[in-house]
Amino acid sequence: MTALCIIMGYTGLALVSGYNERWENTLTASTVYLNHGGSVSIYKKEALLKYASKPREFGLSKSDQDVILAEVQGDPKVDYFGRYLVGYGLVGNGCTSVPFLAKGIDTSIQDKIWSEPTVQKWTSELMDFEKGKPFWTSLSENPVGLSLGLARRLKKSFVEADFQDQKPLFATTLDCIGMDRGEDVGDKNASLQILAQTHGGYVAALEATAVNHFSTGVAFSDESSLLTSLSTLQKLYETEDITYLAVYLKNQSEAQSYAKTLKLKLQKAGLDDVEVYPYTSETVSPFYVGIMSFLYSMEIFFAVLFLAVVILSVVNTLSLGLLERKKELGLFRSIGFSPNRVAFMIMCEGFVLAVLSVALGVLLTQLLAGLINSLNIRFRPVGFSGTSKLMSTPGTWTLTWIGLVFLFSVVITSYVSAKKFLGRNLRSLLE
Amino acid sequence: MEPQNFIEIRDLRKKYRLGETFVDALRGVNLDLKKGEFTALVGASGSGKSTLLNMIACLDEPDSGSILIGNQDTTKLNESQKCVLRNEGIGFVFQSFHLVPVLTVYENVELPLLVNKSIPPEQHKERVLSLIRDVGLKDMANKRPDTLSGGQRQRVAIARALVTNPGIVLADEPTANLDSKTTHEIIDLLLALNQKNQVTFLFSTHDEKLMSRAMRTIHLRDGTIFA
Repeated sequence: MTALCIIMGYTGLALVSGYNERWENTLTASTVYLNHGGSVSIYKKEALLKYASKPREFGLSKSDQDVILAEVQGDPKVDYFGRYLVGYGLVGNGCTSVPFLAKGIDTSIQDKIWSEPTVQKWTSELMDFEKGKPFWTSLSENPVGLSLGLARRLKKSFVEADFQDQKPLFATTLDCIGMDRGEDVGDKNASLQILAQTHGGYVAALEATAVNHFSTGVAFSDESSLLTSLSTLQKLYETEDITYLAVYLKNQSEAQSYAKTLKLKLQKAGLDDVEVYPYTSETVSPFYVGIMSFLYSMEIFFAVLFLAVVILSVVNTLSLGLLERKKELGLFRSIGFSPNRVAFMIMCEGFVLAVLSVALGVLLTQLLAGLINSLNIRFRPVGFSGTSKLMSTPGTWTLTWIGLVFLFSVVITSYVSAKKFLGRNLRSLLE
Repeated sequence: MEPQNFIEIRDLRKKYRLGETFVDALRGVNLDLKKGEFTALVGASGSGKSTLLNMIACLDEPDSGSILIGNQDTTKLNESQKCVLRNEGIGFVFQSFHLVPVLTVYENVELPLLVNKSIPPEQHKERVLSLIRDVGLKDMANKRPDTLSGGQRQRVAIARALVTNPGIVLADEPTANLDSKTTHEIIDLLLALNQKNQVTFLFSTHDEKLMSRAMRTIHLRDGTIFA
């Protein structure tokens, strides 16, 4: 009975932790790589609050970039780095225009990002385009990727790949009223117009080509996101500035310490009006931090619940077991075994039982996790734009720490229960 | 010259609570036992025999009085000192044998030696086998208690009580669960061991045959010794 409680408690907690671990890995890969946040990102001070209204003042100038690159380049901890420009504007289909939030990305590192093992393993679902191909493989002059919501609002169902070798048609005259009514007005093209205010304060526009439709994975950003190359966006905003520079570390766990070190280095180099954020900072990754906090709280709740059930069950079954073995324990005491020695024996029995139960728990966890992962159960997580596969992937460390917690709890519970039981009058034990 | 007392009990008293009332189990018991004595403790049920044995064996605490075993007042010992005394100085034979069912005869007899510090570990095997031989279970060392008869189980319990070479062996109605033939065998065995090892034996009994074989009989009634 005790063994069954340990096995079930262990398996339950390991599966919940495995579920969290999956999300932690997915969110980390998504935050750092797919969303181009980097392990560490460098912004101008207060840029996160004021960049949108004063991009010229709160962007990183060419000279700022040079100072940062001098510190980052050649650092053995750094895998690679990328420059990013963020901007707002309007994107139009010839009839209607809708606001966008664009990110211009450093396409030179895009292949590296996509081939990252962690990205391949944990975010492969998010890498699939709903339609089209990566925009950095396009030969068009200004290729852009449209988020699903943005493509829907623009009624832009075609992408460059739909026209194979043909040059996409540019409609000259469009029936905008018909388009609004949802009629087929012959708008068979992938062309777009993007319009924005330059950093110099003028209005500029570019003719662009929709190359893909993608999902950001997050409901609130799926309605207005546009992805293009840094050069396209710099051309639109008529600037050499960037919004932030992302550093991709070889070891993500060093992000916090690296951010502190880099900030000090930049200050020494005379760049003291920048902020360096690790990806775990709530300021730059509120979604990541919020979700992970929720998941950790959930894990702690379940850990306490499962452990309480297991400890109470162990106390209960052990008390019954001790009562059944009352005379045997009394005998040990009567032939000279001290209460501590007898309690130690009971603790050793508890230890062996816990080790065997945890080993069986590991097997059961692997079996159930494999089963859950193979069933392809899909659900819509809160805040996500699409569905996700229900998965539990408890790693070796997770299985080990849960095993140690259970082992420790059972051993201590056994010892304390036995000590309490053996505190009875010896004569009453022998009766 | 008269041999010195090995055990001296003075004004030993014990009350038990039975529901709302208190029962006087022992009311000022005084008793001396000499080294090597083979003594029967006789009395009706509830006369205090088991209580007295439990007190001498340090299995229970008296309310007042003193118990000297080899000049050591056991009522003044702490728990760890009592553990050592129970292991090295006293052997106890229970009416219902109290063998560990998952252990073999050898392992059951060896049990007290696992916490014994006076007999070197290299002598354990020889000592255990010698005692198993002495109690007539030479070929049964590897058997488990559930395969043995009642008499054989009691022999194992006697061997276990003697394994640490104690000064006194206490037995609480050791033949109560045995048939007449086996009772005789056990009495013979206890006497032989008493003579061979010069161990003091104190046992409680209702059995006339056992009483008649004892060197000395102590009568207990209502918690006091009257003869």
